[in-house]
Amino acid sequence: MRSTLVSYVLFAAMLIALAAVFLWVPTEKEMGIIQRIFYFHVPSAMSAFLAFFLVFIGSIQYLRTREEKWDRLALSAAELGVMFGLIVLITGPLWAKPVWGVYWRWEPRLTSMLITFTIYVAYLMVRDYGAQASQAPRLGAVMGILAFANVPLVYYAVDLWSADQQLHPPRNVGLEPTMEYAKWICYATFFLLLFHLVAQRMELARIESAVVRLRQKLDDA
Amino acid sequence: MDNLHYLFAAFSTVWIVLFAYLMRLTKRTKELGLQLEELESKIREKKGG
Amino acid sequence: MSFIGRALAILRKDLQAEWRTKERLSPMVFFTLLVLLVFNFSFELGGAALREIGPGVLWSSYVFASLLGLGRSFADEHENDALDALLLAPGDHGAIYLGKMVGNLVFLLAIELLSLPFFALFFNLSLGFFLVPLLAVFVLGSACLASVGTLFAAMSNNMRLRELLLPLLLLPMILPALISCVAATKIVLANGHFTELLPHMQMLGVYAVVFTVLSLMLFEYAIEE
Repeated sequence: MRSTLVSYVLFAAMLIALAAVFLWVPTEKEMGIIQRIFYFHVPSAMSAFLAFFLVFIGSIQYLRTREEKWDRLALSAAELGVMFGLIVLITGPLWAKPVWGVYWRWEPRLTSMLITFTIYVAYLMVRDYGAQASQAPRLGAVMGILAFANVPLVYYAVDLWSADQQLHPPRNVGLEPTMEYAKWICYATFFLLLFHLVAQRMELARIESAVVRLRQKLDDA
Repeated sequence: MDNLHYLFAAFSTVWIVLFAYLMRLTKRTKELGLQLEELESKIREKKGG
Repeated sequence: MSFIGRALAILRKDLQAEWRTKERLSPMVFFTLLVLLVFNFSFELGGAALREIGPGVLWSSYVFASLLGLGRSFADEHENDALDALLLAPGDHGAIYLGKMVGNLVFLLAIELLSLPFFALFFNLSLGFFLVPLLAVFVLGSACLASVGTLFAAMSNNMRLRELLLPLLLLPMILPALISCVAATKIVLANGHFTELLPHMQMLGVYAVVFTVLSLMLFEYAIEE
């Protein structure tokens, strides 16, 4: 029931965000129409980091309480973090080509995102292929904590490495008020999308583990 | 103003990635359904036999 | 026995076993030389490009060598179930981690120092005073590798496909440290100023401390059966 309601709200929010990005905001003067990528590139990046933070929370809570729901949160959030990360890593170069002239520059923010992305892809792969079902939540939790601790270090190291390559604006200063509003609408929509998908993915994981348990019970009987 | 196709590509990316992820969830749900059916038939067997 | 005492006991046991057999050290040093050769033929290193890519080549070889070495660091225990005995012993399991981690650190440093003369010889580098700061880079860099590396080695020990998974786990995690190792080595070889070197050394120090502390806390969960 609640999730149906969230679906409708999400649907409405997406329509509003679309209208805001394509009809409402003025075209940016320097970059032109391509700047509109901003409205889903940046919220995707924020959603990815929010998801990685959820992995961290889920991991800590799992080790403390050993309740499966926290592990489901960590796993689901990691999948969605990787999904949003992928959106960032594809839309980034598509924005870079017309503005910087090439698809890929080893520019600090893009590089950091790429490294962070690979860390969480590795997290998912190790959980999928390496760990036995009984140990996956525990080992996943250890990885989830270490991975999140690494994020600020990745940013620091990459900044040291290529500070002179910095092409992203330091902060989004000087956005017109309309752009500012549209940005917040897009943030809200993307966060809602993230939470909704995490909830759906967690529910799926819960049913999956229930089926596994049922099967074991049946086999034992 | 000639950059419209990059905007189009980037915007499509969001939908394509989202769609691919939803397909993945659909596939898992379908597998889950099959497993449930299998379990149901197993239970029926046990009750019958 | 105290925490430090038990860590030292594990360290001593591992170093003694290695000293007797050299079954990790000699193949690893040889492996490092082979990787250097591969890089040499891939990039024509002798020329002017050396200063640019030499440090990267050096650290790439060390990272690949460390993957093999770390993979073996719990293998003996795995093969004769000695890890269970270690785990059954009373007290904080963090001591096991600390002992193993320092062992791996010593071990990586040994590989690095033994292969450095060959690197210098092949690539026409005259050894000199820069050895002192270089040694500091090696110590910090190896500490970074050993900190997460030892924990991941313990974790992957019980996994399927563990030879494949250790690199998958370790390589992306170690990238920020690798970036600073290469940058710091480049600065040292170019006789750069201390103030240039400092931020990278700080980065390596922070990385090593953060991940050693976290690993100490998490080791318990990583190995429990």
